[in-house]
Parts: sequence; C-alpha cells; structure tokens
Amino acid sequence: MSFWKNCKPHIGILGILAGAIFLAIGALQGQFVVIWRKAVMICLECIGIG
Amino acid sequence: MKRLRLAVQLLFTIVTNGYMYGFLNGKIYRGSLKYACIPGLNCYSCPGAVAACPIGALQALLNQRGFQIPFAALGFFFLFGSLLGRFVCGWLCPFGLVQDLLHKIPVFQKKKRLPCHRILKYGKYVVLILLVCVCSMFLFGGLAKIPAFCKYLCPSGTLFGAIPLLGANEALRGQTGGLFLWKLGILIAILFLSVKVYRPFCQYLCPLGAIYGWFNRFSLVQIQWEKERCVSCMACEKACPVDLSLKEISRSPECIRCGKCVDACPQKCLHFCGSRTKTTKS
Amino acid sequence: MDKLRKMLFMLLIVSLVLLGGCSGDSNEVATEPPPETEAEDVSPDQEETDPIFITFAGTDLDGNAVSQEIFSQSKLTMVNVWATYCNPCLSEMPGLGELASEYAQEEFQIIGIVSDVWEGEDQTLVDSLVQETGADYLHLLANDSIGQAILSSVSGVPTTFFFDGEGTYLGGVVGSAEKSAWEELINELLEKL
Repeated sequence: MSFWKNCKPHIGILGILAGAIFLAIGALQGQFVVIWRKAVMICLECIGIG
Repeated sequence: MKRLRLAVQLLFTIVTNGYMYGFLNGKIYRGSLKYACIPGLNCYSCPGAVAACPIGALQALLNQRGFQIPFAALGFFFLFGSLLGRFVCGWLCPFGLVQDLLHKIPVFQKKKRLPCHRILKYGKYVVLILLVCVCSMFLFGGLAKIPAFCKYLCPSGTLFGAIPLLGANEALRGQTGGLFLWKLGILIAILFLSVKVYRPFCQYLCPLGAIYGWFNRFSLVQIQWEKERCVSCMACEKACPVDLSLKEISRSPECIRCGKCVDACPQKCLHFCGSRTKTTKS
Repeated sequence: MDKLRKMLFMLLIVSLVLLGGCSGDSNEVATEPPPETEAEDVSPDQEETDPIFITFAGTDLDGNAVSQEIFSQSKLTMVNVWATYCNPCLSEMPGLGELASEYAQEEFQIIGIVSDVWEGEDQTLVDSLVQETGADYLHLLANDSIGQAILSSVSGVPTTFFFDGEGTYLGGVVGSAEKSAWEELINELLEKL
C-alpha cells in the first residue's frame, strides 16, 4: 500500500469536488445536450472543410 | 515505465477511437458516450471517436448566443486536472502519442526545446485565451460564431478527423478549399517539427495542456522526490525530455509526467505517487 | 510501481468494457452511399436498389403538424438539414430562400430541418435566423421521429436530401453549395421526373 501511505487531505480532492459540482450545474443548465448535439452532428467548417 | 507508457498511450487511443463503423463509412459515432469528454485532445469529428473533445466542448458552449459560464467543460477540466494534471498529456492524449512516435525517428539532431523557449512556452496561453475563449465568444463567421481553435488551428482535428473523413467520404473531398490547405500545412509543419523537437505542439500551442498545466501543482497524481536518497547526479534532468530542473519535476506546468526521470534515477528516489508529501515541499 | 500498473490496467479494462457495452449508432434508415460533390457541379448519388421511403411526424415553426404526406404536394422536395451554429448552412440559406420562391409549389418545394433545436425548446433563435437569411420556406424542428427517419443518416451539416412526389428517396448531397449549382441540380432532377 506504499502508493497511498502518504495520502493526506489534499487540495486535489477539492478540485475534484469542484469538478463534480460544475458538472452538475452544467447538467442542470442543459449544457451537456449542447455538447452532445455538437459532437454528433459535425459542422464541416469545424473540421476545416468548406 | 517507457514500455508501459507506450502501451497505455496506444491502448487508450485505440479504445477511445474504436468506432470502426465510422472509419469504414465516413460517419461519426452518435451514441450517448458523446455526452462525456475524453481527457486528451481527441477531435469528436474523428470517425472513430466515442466521446467528445474537452476543447471542442468548451467552444461549443462559448459559441452559444448569450454568454453562459461553461460549467460542463469546466467540470471536466477540474476533474481530469485535479486528478491527473498533465499526466493526461503524457499518457492519454492521442496527438501527444503521434508526436512521441515521430520524435523516435532517428534523423536530425534532437532538441528538447525551441530557441526562445522562455517566451514561446506562453504561446499555449495565447492560443487558449485568444482562439479558444475570445474568438469563440465574439467572432462571427456569418450569422453564427466560430469555434476558432477547431477551425483555424487544431492539428489533432485535421489528422484524426478531417483526413479519415475525407478518405472515406468522396463527397467531402470536393468541398476542401483554402481553409483545409491552411490546416493541413499547420499539421505537416508540426509533424515535421516533432521529429527534431520534442512535442512542439504540447510545449508551445496546446490550450488543453495550458489548462491541465495549471493543475500540476495540485493534482493527486504527482511524481514524488525523496530528498534524503538523492545524490544530485542530475540523471533525472538529463533524462527529462522537456528539460526541466529537479525542482520543477511534477510541479511545473510544463511537466507531462512521462516518468523518464523515474526510470533514470539510479537511487530510485523519484516515483509516481498519489499525493504530495512533506519531502517535496520546497 | 505495482500499484500504479494495477491502477492503469484497471482503467484500461473499464474503458474496454464501456466500449464493448456501447451500441453505437445502429439506426440507419436511409443508407446513403457517398454522393459526389464538386465545387461547381452538384449531383446526388442515385439509389440503384429498392426505393427507400421514410415516415415521420414533425411540427413546423408555427406549431402545425407535418408528415411525409407533404411530399405529395410537389413533384420534387428538397429536405435541407441545418443547425443554428453552422455557418456554411446559414450562408447557403438565402440562396435556398430565393430558390423556394422561384418555383411553383407543385413543381418544387424546400423543407428545412433544424437539427439542433428540438420540439418544445425555445425557438427564438431559429425564428430570427430564418428571418435574417430570408429562408422563409417550411422548417421543422427536430424530434424523435425526425431523428429516426432523417437525422440518423446525417453525419454533418448541411446535408440535403431529395424526394419525389411519392416520397421516394432520390439522393443526397453533403455540404453547402452555390445557388446556381442547386438550380442546375433541381432542374436536372425535375426533367427526369
């Protein structure tokens, strides 16, 4: 268990929590739908064509 | 470590771009995995891509009319950044893998950095702020805003998205014009430069690397230095492909956590770790 | 080091499992062999196999119900799939608006499909874009039925499909084109019908 032996409460954990909270807020605002629609229907301009 | 890292890079790239139906038919994956982002710079127009690109997602959110804080994209940055920092760059990014492989080609005298590195390394922040943020929020290309980084720069999109799609889809080939030539030129320049200089895109242009670099000091994954065992042989600094000093290992926003220093240390005082300990605090 | 290896391989196994579990896109209704498109000349692919019919039920911007029966209104119907974020789509729409008014309804009609705004969502942006581009033909918002029938065959926008009066699929074009190129293609198709 040497990997975890020096594990202390860490600012990284705060960052992960912040990330989770941001993801939740984004989900509530419907931002994931925007991402999905953009990701599955590519505008040709976005890949440098046309 | 070297072989493990290459194996992880290859496997992760294959798994996250494994939608074979897309490659064969010139289409892209449309399932629900694309609600989520892959940690590295992985164009969601790649026919094989099974999830979204974080920078693409950020721009898609900023491109909307009416400003909204892009929480969804920020969430992924904080999550991956706080966990891994630029470990993503060293182990999980497909375009990083391409540059690594090109750098192995035994021609040209290899350089770790470009001249004027101290100034040029800020280029990635310029790309992030100017192209990704400002242009995506304010630049119109007609009636809609432009995802400027994707459109004008991203070589990962050209290599993994545009080229396979053009290969499989005859209709698209007729659509290529000046913009595609520009992007192809950028891609070719970066690929050629990678043979001589180590990961030039990662060091000087990548906005995602700029973001994850900010998390390096705080990420859970770190490379720990056991000071008591060190004999100051500097083997780690010689091995470091981005020319970091001992104090900068793991903490600098330039460190991609490739682990070459870990392999090189004869006293085994460097190793990957789950968090920082007292010995690494300067 | 061993712990690190184990963690990484766990990550890989999880990713493999996720990929194996994902079904991907299996809803292909209208199979579309890559159509040919050149800069000046636009021509759709021709389906040599059995004719493909689609059925859908959607609503236009005023809330009226529209289904595949609308194809019987014209000899030739052009279905143009676009998105509000897509500049190539928006730049060809003024031309399409002009084309729509140049032909008689019984000859030729255009139907626009907004791929990124779904029924029930706020359509103010769609309304304003339609007004700004002068593309004042019929537009349908996306929904599940249109998603199945039409959008599942679309990888990128703009994509355009052609149907005859019976609703037979005639071919498709990926990417935007000049008004003159569309005109040529439309006339060509009308002659054959």
